[in-house]
Amino acid sequence: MGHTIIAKCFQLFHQAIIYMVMDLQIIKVVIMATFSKASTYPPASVYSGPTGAWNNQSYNSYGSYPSYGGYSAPNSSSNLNAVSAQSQYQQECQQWADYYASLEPKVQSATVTSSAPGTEPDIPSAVSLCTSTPTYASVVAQGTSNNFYSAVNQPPPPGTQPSWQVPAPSHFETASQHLSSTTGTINNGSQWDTALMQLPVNDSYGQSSEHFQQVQNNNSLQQEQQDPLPSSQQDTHVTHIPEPSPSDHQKPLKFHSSVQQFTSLEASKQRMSKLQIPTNPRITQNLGVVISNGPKGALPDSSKPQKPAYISIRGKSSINKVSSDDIADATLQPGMFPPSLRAYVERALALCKDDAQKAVCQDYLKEIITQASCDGSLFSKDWDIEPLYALSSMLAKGISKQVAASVKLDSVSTRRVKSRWEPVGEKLEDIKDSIDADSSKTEVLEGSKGQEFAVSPKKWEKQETTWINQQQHHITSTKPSKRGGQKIKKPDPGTGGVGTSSESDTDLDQGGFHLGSLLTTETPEEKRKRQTRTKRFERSKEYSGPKGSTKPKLQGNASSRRASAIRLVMSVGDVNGQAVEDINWDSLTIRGTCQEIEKRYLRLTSAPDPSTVRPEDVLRKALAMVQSTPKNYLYKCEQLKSIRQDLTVQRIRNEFTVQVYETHARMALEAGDLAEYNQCQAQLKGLYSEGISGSYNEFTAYSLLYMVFQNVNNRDLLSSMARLSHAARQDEAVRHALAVRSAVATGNYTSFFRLYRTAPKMSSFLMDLHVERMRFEAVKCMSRSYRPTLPLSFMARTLGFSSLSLVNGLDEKESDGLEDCEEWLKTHGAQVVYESSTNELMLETKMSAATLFMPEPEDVVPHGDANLAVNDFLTRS
Amino acid sequence: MWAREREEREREMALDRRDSVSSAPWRGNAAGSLFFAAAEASRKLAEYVNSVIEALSTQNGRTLASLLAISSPNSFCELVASALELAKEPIKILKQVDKHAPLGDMLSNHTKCMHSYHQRRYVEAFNALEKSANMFLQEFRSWESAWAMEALHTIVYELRTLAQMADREMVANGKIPDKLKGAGSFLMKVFGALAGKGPKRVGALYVTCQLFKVYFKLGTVHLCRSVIRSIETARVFDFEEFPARDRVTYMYYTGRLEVFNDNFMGAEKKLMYALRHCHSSKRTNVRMILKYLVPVKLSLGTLPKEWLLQKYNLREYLNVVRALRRGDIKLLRHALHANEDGFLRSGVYLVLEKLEQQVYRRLMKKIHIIQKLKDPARAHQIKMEVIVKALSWLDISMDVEEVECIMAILIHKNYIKGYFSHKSKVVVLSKQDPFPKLNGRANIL
Repeated sequence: MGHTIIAKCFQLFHQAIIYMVMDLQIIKVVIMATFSKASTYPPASVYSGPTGAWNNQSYNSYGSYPSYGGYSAPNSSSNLNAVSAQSQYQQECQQWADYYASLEPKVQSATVTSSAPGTEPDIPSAVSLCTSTPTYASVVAQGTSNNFYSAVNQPPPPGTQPSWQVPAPSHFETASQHLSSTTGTINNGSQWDTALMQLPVNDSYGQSSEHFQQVQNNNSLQQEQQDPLPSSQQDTHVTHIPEPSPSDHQKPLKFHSSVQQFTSLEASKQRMSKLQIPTNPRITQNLGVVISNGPKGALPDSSKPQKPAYISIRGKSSINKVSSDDIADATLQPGMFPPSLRAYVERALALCKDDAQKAVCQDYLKEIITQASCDGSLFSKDWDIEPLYALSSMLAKGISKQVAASVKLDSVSTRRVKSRWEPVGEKLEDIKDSIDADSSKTEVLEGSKGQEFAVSPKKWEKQETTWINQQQHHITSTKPSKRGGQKIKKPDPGTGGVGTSSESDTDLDQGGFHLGSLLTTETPEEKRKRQTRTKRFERSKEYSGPKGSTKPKLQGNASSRRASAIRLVMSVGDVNGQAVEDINWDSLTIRGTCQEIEKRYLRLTSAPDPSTVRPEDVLRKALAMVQSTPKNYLYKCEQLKSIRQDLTVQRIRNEFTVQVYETHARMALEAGDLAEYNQCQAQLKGLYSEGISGSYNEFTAYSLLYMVFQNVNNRDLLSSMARLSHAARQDEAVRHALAVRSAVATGNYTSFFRLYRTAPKMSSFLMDLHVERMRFEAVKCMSRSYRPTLPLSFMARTLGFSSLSLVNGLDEKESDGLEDCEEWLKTHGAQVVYESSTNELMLETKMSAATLFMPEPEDVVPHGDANLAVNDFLTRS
Repeated sequence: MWAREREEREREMALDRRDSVSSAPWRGNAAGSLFFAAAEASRKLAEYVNSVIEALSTQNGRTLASLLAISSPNSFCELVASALELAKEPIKILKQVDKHAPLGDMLSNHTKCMHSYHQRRYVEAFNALEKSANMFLQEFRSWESAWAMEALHTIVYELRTLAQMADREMVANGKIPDKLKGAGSFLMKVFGALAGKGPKRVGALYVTCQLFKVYFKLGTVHLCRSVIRSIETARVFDFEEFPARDRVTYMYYTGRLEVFNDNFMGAEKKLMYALRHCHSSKRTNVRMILKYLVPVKLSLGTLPKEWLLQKYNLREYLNVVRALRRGDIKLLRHALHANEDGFLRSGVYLVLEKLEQQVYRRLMKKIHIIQKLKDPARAHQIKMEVIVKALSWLDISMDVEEVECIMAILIHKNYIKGYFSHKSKVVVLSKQDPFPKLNGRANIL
């Protein structure tokens, strides 16, 4: 699965490069088409009800598309609706989640008014919704000066596929028609390329101005939506004709390369409203992608040729663009290869004399660019001085790629702007790039938006996965036709590539290019529609999603989260270890919503469900409950474990976490549950080392004692002693622990049992662990060194049997100690005799020395862990 | 004859190196000189590569080792690093080796390492060296004889030291250091290649010692055990046949391990071996050995002369030894406290701590001697109150029960022969040899 994704992404990247090259051609086509077909040019603007100017312009060709006649009337109303809605949107657009949420119902309302004859209601809704696109774009443009950001933020691209299935046929039909019409002109020139090359030179002025007009229309359209003044449109047109047109033939290429550039020029004149333009084409591009790639096989072949509702094809090229952006340089200006590179490509293509040459040339260029973007020299290389002759001569001979490849310069990478997960390893670079770009996208989204966008990132994650699939689909379907650009020369108007699937893909592609490039510059309606489709897709997604819209905002979609996590890990996992640290786990962390204070502990076997995880404030209550409950340790332990689990899955690591672990550690000590204590101690060590405050000294003391009693090797003990700070050594508990260690080391039982009696806090519970062994050692020592006898009263006192008696000072208690001592001695094989002269029990040392033994522990259980003996456990607590 | 020629060549190369150093200032002055420098660098690099090829083809391990050295003061590191920077197509030059031996990749990684090392990017350098070392080891395995042992040792050494530097760099950058660990696992591979039968086994002990250094640094001394077993149980190879330097290092480390295991007898044996075989001119090494040998000897009852401690600058033990001589508990505690950190770090704290019982024994002995002077007949009976009083003179306040306990322990552990009467609060010493010699005792109990 992961492999295929990587492979696909690799393909995608390649594809992107290819299309970059083709893109340049398309630009030419656009220019040409706009130039030559100005009169018959029927843009999708038909839909744009409110923009009178548009309609005026294009209505003359309208008649030939009868099906649209019905549309126009209702559309105008729906558009009005949408426009009014839009003003609201503009204010709230910054929040995508809200934006979408609010958008949806309104769209539906709009749809009602404009259900068109013969088509699914989806289309009108799409239409009306599309009005919002400009706003969206403008928001993006305003919100971020960085275009990349806007590109990243475009919500629709990934998810649109299903939604446009229905409307698609008609559009494609029309698209193909368009194609035929536009290509008609193209065919006029016998040498398509040369014609292209020459055209700008010859008619650069008129051409560019024409084109500008198109763009301008677009602008004005958007403008109108904010302030609908049809008259102003004309003005802008006028102002734009004298736009400084390119003096040299490179311009056409450049022009398209950056609509932004162009518009930025305009912006200087037209101020803010024009800012929208840069992003618009990109949106349409993205949407178009989907359209051209979708499961066309499923599309019904509608017999009636319809007016081109919108142009998908543009999107085709755009996908390349977008993906190449993502891949090659996510942070650079979107989609834009350096102008010098464009010029270089153009020069190269100009040398081609026929299709075959062009094909070779494109391959070669593709390789060069791939190479350059791989090693990062895409932007550093001076394309202006890059040798052309090599490839031109090669082209003349039609030399194969391999030769071309050898010409490539492996320039040292100087600069390469990439996602921060950029792999260090070179080999898989390209593959990963695409993934990286993806993940970085998610990253940016999630990272930048923060809490309020809690919903949208989730959607995004989902979309993104689907998008990848889609792109893969796209790649696979278009791969064979990637060099279809040459065929542009002779597109068959009949096939049109509309309803038919794979075989017509190529034609479709090309047609797409033409139409797309022709039309994307035009209507915002286009985008509106596309966005509607995206919307619908998203909606359906939400319904179908496991915990979609029914859940509150905070709840994450576990599966999507996991999917994105896997993707993240995948994208970085095999590169090198360091990159994993860069994963933003915060974005994957869930927040619990469970309000129950009590919760059973169950070991997780899958991703945690937020509805069963308690947030911190509830956990605090739970801890308080555990601390005050009269129930036994078994219950407390389970509750504490479930609290710990909830803390862990939510990655809460603060003072409260420390408190929970400390509480559990103490309770475990009290109950003699060493396993749990040890877990807590280990966690606490980590928490303390993170600088979270707690009862550090107390638990340092415990861990020291634990080490002493568990007979860890000297080295570990030494190192933990060496690590003690001077401040810690002054602490009562630590000092006590050190003294105990010393007593154990020297076998000084007297001081050990004195320390046992005066143990601070829970230390005595830990010392309990060692008491038995210490007593035995002591008795062994006594029986060897004392002669002839030793009174039991002394032993009971020395060996800590009579600790109670010292506290209470009661004779009864003291005798209790004696009895315990006697019993203990007897079970350990010591010889106790009664001394009548002093009326005392005495230890007969000489005899005992030979008979002392350490009895098998009584509470031994078959599985070796006494703590697991349930009965014992229950009685204890 | 050959050897002399080779020496001459080496000298030549050494001269070259000096050239390159002195020529450094003028490079880059002008385009012409830059071009010249590039050509010069290419030439030097080619020369370096040629000498590597030469060393390989003549199977000259020593020359190869010196060519591959990185951190030693007169290594080729700087020469190669500067040549790599200036030369036009270093890869091409380096690939020449390929024609002669399959070590081309190794050399390109190795020079990359030298380059990174020269620029103090140790993590990069380590990564390159690790690749290089792996490739070299692969080749080394295929060679029948052990001629390249020296070169292998050089690489092993460089890898370990570089790993430490890389780890420091990683820590400074806030990363989790793992390079030394990586070096450890590579050394284990090398050990595997050497430890078998055959002529290569001579070099195994060196790698073992380097492994010890890694494991001691990492605190994973338990990993030493398998290596030690492999060295000590093999019957095919006599330990004495290993080079002396490796034997000393090996004994030093295994001696330290025995100290951790509280096996003072074994520790003494190994450390004494190390001390005896260590060249007397290597004062720092002698000092390192003594640092562990002295406490071990003390715990076995052998006190060093003060001049020895003075000579090897082991002042931290001076007061410990004095306390032992005088039976001065207070002085011992004071000495332990004053050097606590150092003792804890070197790991001898727990050893010295146990000397306290010896000091008590000394005190008892002194009391016994004084009593003998006064009243020889009752000298073997030492009253509790006398001991408590003696301790209070030393500013140690202990109640009778505690002193009783200590006496019981002394008797129990055979520091003193005799018994204790609880009833009359008297330590009754044995009439024969009440204070037995400690040798061979300390580790039994």
